[in-house]
Amino acid sequence: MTADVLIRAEGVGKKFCRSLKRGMYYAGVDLLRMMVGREPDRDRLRKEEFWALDGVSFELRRGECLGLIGPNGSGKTTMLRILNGILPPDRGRITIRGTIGGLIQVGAGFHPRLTGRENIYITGAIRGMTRRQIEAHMEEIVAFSGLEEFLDMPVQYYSTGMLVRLGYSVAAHLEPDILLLDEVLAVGDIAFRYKCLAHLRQKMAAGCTPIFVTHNMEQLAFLCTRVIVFSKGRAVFDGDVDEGIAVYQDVLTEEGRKGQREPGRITYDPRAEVAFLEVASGCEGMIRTGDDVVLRVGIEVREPVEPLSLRIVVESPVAGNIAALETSRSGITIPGDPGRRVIEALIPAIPLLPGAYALKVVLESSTRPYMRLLGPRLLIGARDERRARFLVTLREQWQWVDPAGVWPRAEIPD
Amino acid sequence: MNLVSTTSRSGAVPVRIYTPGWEQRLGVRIWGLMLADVWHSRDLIWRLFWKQWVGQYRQTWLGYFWAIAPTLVAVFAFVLLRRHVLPKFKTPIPYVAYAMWGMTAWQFFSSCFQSAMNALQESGPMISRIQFPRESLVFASIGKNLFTFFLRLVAFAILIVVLYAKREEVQWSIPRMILLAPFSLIPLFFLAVGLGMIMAVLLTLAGDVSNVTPLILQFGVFVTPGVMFPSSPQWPYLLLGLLNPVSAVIEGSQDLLAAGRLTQPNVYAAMTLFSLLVFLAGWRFFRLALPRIQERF
Repeated sequence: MTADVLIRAEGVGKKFCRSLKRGMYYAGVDLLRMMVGREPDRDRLRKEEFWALDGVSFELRRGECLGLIGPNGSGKTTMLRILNGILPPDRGRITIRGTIGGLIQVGAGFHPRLTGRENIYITGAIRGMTRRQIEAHMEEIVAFSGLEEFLDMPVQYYSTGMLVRLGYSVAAHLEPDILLLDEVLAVGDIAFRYKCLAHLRQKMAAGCTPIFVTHNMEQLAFLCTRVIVFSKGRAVFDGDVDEGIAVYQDVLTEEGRKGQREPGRITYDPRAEVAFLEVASGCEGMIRTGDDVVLRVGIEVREPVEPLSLRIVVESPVAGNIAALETSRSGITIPGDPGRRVIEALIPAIPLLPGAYALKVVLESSTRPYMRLLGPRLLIGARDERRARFLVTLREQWQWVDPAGVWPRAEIPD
Repeated sequence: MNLVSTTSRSGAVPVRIYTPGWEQRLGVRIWGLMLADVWHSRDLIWRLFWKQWVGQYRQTWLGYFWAIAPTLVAVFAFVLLRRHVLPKFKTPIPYVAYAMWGMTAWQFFSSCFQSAMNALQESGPMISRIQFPRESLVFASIGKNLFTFFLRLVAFAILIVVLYAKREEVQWSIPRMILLAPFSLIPLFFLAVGLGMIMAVLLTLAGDVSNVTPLILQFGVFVTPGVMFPSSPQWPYLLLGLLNPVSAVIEGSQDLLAAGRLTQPNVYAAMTLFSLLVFLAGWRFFRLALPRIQERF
């Protein structure tokens, strides 16, 4: 194993039991076997057992940021728990070089009647920090959480968001080589989420290698350099982020297909839908701040419907929905008679600063939505850490005012 | 790609290899790991104990009084029973002190046992997501009982002072060795924690355990000579004292209270050894089972 490989997983498998009672029974049987020095039944699937992870192999190198994505129950969290050493694998082998820390269940271990400060000591200890380490980081932790004035209040009076901030602030001050993150940035307000993302990037720059489980594709695109897509316990894709997200969409589509009339389309009405959305300007969907941007949308109407309107929502990973483009503003309605149409929106001098943004399309009539979310597949903007603190650029101009003697506010008399 | 040098920021690079049953294959070396885990989590054990202890009493007005109250109530009931219901029996020290001591010892045993047994269940969400030595949950939950035991000892000491001042029931020349009596209960600690860790594992395999044990412990008060009444040399009551390690230890400590020496040092020694073995076996079993039962939280 070369020095920059931090994790090597080889054919890792883990099985679980669907039935609670049977699971208790199997655990008992396995324990008895272990007590007499025999191996428990690891390789064979007994009744009601299934492979939650099956033959997963990958290597993680220093400097990468790995995203694990996949539908619920596809094995991501199980993988994290195995990496964390909580569950032993039933098959395969995992080699880990370096220390591992987790930003998982950040609020775990809080005692409601103890104060925020007291709970910092407890959570810190649970995560392996010594008293001295906690005290050394105390000020940073408190400042990061932004909860200075509530610190001596019992945490039972904290809001959920405040609890998460406190828990995250403690966990974020660990300094592991490998950092496991399980959906931790799904909560908290926008400002705090942004702070966390920025903090994570700082940690990455300092040599920490994160593994990130998330359902938020924008955050994924913002942070990760590589993704592994899980489906039914197997790693079905390992590689580039954009491609991985596309594979993930396919997996979702595949799994969602079972209950739907029309496969692969998230739509409430099959009579009319958005067929595609693309960025028609720039190079391969990458545009720079200030460019004129053309978005092209294909609309297919299969059976006659009421006249439609179209809305494109721009979403930021840190700020949520930030803008909407609407055909109605240009006085355009989309005819409801069958046919394929293409419409373009021109956004002159786009003010968005570098970052990954998602575009969502909504097609609707005055009475019902014909909705299709295109999701995060189209990302605009480039990654540029220098200016990522702000969302938009305003094209202001500065100039001196002469003479300077005129003040808009009356001077205070003596 | 390499942002920092190949050595870890903390110095030496720890390498861990997880394979199926890797702990099982360590053999005797597992003991080194177990001891190291407890040593490294001493801060954590202290914090978890402190959290339970402070959290428990912070919302009360009477605070530590509630640590002593259960013993006082039980002793009061015993004294009433002895005065009015039970046949008269002789105790080596005044009965109030006898019952107080017996009950303190028994409650120390049963609370340690129950804390160890429930330690995992009470922290389910933490166990399923965060990696830390699970033994720390067990040892921390017992800290609470040690502290309670200490408070009850203080109450017992006050009782002795009162009795000594009144000197009315029986003459009891308090031996100097009385100070050793609390320490003579240490085997109970090992026995309780060992059994508790075994039960903690069984509890994850069968929830019934949590229903059965309180019944057994309640019943235990009446079949453990030394708690409410002394052991009897008569058949079949003799068996109760002989087969019950808790009884042997409690009666040993009462010997120290009454006369300042053990009347049956061999029995006491055997039970001490037995308790230690139960502790080691319980801990080993706990550790063996952990990887298999952790997924059940």
